[in-house]
Amino acid sequence: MDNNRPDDKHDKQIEQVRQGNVVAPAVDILENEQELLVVADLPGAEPSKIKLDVQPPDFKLEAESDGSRQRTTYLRSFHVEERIDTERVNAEYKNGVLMVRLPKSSAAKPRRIEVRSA
Amino acid sequence: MLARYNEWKEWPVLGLRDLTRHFDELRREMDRVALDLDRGLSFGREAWPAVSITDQGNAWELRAELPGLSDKDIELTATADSVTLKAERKLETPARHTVHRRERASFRLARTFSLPTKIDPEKVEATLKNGLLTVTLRKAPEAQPRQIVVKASS
Repeated sequence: MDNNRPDDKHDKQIEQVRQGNVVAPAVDILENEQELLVVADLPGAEPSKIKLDVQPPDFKLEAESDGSRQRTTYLRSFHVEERIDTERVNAEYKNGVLMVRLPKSSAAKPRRIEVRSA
Repeated sequence: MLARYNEWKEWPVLGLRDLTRHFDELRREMDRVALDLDRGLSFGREAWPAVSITDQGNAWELRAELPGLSDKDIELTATADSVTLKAERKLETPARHTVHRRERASFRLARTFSLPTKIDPEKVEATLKNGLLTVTLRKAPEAQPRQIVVKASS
């Protein structure tokens, strides 16, 4: 009968993430012809504890604040339809705001096709 | 509903313990959503930055989440029993970008917090780090907690 029980190890991991304070940070997503721009408010996050995981089409953002008394975990993930040049993704963190630039790969950029009259 | 003791034990997938835990999780999730709503993360509204004040024994500690602000954007004043925080954030959309999602908001905050005890306004310290403002307000000498030694009579 024990076989039917949910996997204990897996459950503990969920429990760990849930403990403390898990917050979905406020995020802006902008786009122009060259890139997608993701801006997130992560007040108190330690720069060394910001993790970005870009595996198209998944984009995951995870960060941790180590406020002396209360720890906050920031967690957010998106589905990115656009084709991204993962090699050129870059991120900048300043005053508690994270800005991630996701350059579109050349295949996804709109290309202008000349129509010549015969 | 009447359930015999054995029925709990033989419940194939969820034991009573699992069930309680799942309810716990659900409750926490609801708390989180309520908190998010409270903090104004809903779209299109002006957000109200989260502020907390905690008792640290000999001082009050005020913490405010002010992402994107530098020290120039924050004004802090203290009296003998209150502290006033003014801050403003103006967001700009970079030129020629389409907005897909806009959850972050501009805000203008001006709040006065009255404190439960007198403080020493000369000894207020404030630091801004990674968008988190921490203000330590030392309590006035007469408001400091005093430890009373309990002596057992022999």
